[in-house]
Amino acid sequence: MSPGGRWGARARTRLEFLATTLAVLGLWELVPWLGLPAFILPPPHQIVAKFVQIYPGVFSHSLVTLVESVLGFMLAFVSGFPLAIGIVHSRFMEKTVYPYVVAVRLVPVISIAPLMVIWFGIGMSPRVVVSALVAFFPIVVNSVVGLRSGAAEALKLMHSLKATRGQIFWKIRLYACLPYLFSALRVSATLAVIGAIVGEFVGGGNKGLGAMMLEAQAFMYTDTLFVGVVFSAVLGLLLFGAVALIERRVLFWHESVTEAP
Amino acid sequence: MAESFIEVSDLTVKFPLEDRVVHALEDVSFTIAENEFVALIGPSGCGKTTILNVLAGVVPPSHATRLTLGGRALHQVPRGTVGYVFQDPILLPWRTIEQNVRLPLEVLGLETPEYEHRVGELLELVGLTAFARGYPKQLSGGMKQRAGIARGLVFNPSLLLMDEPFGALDEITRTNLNAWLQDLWLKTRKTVMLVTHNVLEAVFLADKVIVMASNPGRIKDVLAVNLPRPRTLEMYSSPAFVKEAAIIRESLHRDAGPAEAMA
Repeated sequence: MSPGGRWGARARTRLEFLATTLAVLGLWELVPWLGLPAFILPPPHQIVAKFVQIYPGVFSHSLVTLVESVLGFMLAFVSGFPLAIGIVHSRFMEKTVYPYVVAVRLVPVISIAPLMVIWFGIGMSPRVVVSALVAFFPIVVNSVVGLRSGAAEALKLMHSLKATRGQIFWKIRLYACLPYLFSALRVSATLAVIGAIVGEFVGGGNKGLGAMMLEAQAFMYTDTLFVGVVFSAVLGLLLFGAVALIERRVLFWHESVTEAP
Repeated sequence: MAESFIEVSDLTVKFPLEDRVVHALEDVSFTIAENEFVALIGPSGCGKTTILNVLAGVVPPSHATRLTLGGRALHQVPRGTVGYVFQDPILLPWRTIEQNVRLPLEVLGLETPEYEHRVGELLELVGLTAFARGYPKQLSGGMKQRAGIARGLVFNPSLLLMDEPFGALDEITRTNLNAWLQDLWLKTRKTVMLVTHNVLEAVFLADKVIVMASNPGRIKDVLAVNLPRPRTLEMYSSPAFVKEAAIIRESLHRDAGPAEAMA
């Protein structure tokens, strides 16, 4: 297919997507005409108007949640990845720690959140911890799989050279793990935002998107709730995008990354 | 030298598979002289690759009355004595071609100027100088395999093991690479053990062909190839070449079951 044709096809898909979105928003605008009150489902223009009215607050709440999510995400990474390395290299840790990691993963984090508030007080720290907790497990589990993968063939090469365990780790396992690690990081990035907002829901306080939404709920400001939902999604997208961007830089050698035309 | 470069007597390798024991090799004995090019040929599952794996120290022998390389017991052979070229070239995708070729130097602690210089020389020898800074995913199958051979030679091993290095390539590329490999061997004069499924490849390259049979893996015949070097692609159709190939083929098919004769 000619490049022009491909661009044409892409433009067409985009146009179709835009048209569908506009159609849905248009239908949504008609909802009040069906007699549904605005506090149940406010029409899009009302949500936009609300945003314009309160946007400085929305931005500062979003910033708080963003900082919590990023800190939680980083905390999950700096604790989860070394733990995975420990599990892969120590039979003792594999037998004692890893089963708990797998088991604790099954506990819904929201049920741990109140405990975190008691342990870490109110303010930012319990939210960061809850965010880190949710983001933690995919990183550990995927890293363990990735570090073990080490491409059996590459290990045969290293064994034929009589390489040491350290050499195999630094030259093979670490790199072979990266594709697995990044697919976990993409999941964890969005989970970190969820964790931060759950922390805000449970922990009280008046900062962050979660706090903003709780307050809006109390006053039945449904339009503000929608603004909160949209910005939560934007935060998730932001973190996901940042990870994907880094991934493209780091994993340029991987088959999944095709070269730019 | 009184004793041969490689001496193997009564080598047996068995490993458990589900509820039975597989005899990959049973009482295999052979000797290989220094600078000799030896081809191992036989049906799938006859233990050809297992012989290479034992010599590379990747698979432990279950039993052997004698197992020496360069006069030393195999487990006392110093690191960097054996180079291994695999069927799948196993280039590390995150390293450039140059970095892949250099890998053994890093592992063996040979990062001296003279060895570093060899990296460039070998890339030149395998015709990949222009791709030194490229990544494996940009290379064709034949190029990857040549990079794998450069990596196998970079630390100047005294024995080069090759496990069907051209098995996955098309016939034209394979024939060209065989001619190229002979040139390379005439220049470097290593002891080479080449595993192959291909009778013509064995005749073209080897001084000596070890014919194997399976269940259990064992040696049937050791046949010398009496053809002058350098061998050329035109020789493929010469009567002497055809005769050598016929002898090997006869040995392969003698007493072989229908499945084994498929080689």
